[in-house]
Amino acid sequence: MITKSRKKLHIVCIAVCLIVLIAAVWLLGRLFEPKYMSGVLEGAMTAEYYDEVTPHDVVFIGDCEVYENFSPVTMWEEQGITSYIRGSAQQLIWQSYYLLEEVFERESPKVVVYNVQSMKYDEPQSEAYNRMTLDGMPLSKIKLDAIKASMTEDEELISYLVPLLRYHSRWSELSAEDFEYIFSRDKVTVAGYLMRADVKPMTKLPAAPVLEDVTIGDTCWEYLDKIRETCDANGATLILIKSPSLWPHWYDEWDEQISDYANKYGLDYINFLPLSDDIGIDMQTDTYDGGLHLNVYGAQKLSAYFAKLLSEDYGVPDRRDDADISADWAEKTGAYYELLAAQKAELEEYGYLKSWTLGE
Amino acid sequence: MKKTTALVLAILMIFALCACNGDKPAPDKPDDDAAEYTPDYGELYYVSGDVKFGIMDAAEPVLEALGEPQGTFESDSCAYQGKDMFYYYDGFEIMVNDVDGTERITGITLADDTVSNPQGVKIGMDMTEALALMSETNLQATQSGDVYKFVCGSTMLRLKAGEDGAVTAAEYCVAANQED
Repeated sequence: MITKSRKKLHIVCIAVCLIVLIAAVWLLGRLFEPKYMSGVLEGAMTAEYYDEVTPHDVVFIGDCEVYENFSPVTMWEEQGITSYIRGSAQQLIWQSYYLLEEVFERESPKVVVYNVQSMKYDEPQSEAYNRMTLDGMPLSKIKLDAIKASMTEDEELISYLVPLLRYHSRWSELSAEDFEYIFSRDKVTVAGYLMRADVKPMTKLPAAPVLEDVTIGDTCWEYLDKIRETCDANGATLILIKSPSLWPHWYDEWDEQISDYANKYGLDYINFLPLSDDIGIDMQTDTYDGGLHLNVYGAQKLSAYFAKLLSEDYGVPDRRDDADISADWAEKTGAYYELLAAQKAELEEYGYLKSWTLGE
Repeated sequence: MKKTTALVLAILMIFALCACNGDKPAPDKPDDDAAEYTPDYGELYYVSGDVKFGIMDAAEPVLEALGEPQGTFESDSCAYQGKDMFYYYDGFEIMVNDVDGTERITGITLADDTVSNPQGVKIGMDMTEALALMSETNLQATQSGDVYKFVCGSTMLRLKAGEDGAVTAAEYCVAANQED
């Protein structure tokens, strides 16, 4: 009898120890993982999507050329279009695919917009960018597949599942931010749009680097097929775009290959580069980094143009009559203009965006 | 008592794990490729006036010797903190990156036909002529489509031929980084 109850006590003790151990690993992982609440904000973007409360008719996937260049609030204001940007820094096409898979598990967008710039990369590039895209995803088979597709040679799957294993070396650089945001984060985007209100005019772009091989890689085509097929299976229209960022250079040879693919499968491919004048983009006023990304003023112009196209040519509905959706977008619009006012105030005070960048 | 000891040890293990320095820096800030290069460009260098420089040379003394550039451009793709810095000079451009804490020249591009490299290669000349000039270096050219490459150490010179057979681009870059 005594032996039995001792055994039970043993089991309880071991269970308690395990729970404490797991809780400690989890807690320390939360503490040590980067919060991306200042400086490099891009790592906080992926997780924000899961807080969305109303559905979206349009979902963007891609790299900085979507999350810096399109403003969902403008699309709402102009045409009543509900949209979200599932963008992340240097988002590679396999990551775009898995993020899209997640979208279709949660909602049924009518249009999916994929920016093709990242198809220049046919293999995993950088752990840091992988982390910024993948760490924010909730644990699921999709996340595991995304990690496996994204890992560079030196990375290990387990370190994505147990963040402490990867981030423990940050122990010596923990800051107040790490403690403040251990359990919850502020929003850094509005519907996936990362705002920049500063202006840095374009001057001269460097010569386009010489490419030995201008062929878009097989892995990229494979995942573009998957994106197309999953859009088909979910009844969504896929639109391929090249946003009007002038650098990195977009080669004619890449453009031809994307055009050929679009023609082959009856997709629309919109290269906004030659449409910049029609859109009204002025790289003297509408970019914050000399032509790489649009600032808020450029994003508003591009978004107004694209929203009209989506409304007129793709029949994306105006949702402004829906009370719940309108209420949600009223909140987003409020946050958008509040953010814009805050950035303008900082520009006025410091001459640059102190809180949204790493400094001058 | 034993269980308590086990629990304490387990938690201590976690802290020990945290205290040790990892092999890699935490990836919250994109890091540059840590590979080390030694200037070993042989004949694959560039000369402007009295200033001779090549790939992986420390940028600071070269930029100082070249004087004020006509313009600059910085590219920090997406969230990347390590920037590609471009400096424009008469007829050529220099790209600079932080390599292991030192600003180094990682690219030299002939921007127009007003300049030539030390062997005499310039934009617009016939590729056959350019290849003949480059043969002075005793470096073997390898062809990949319309691009001709010469490699010496960690430096690569790439010459691109246009449809008319003329040199349309000439750039020195790090041999390990064959794509942008």
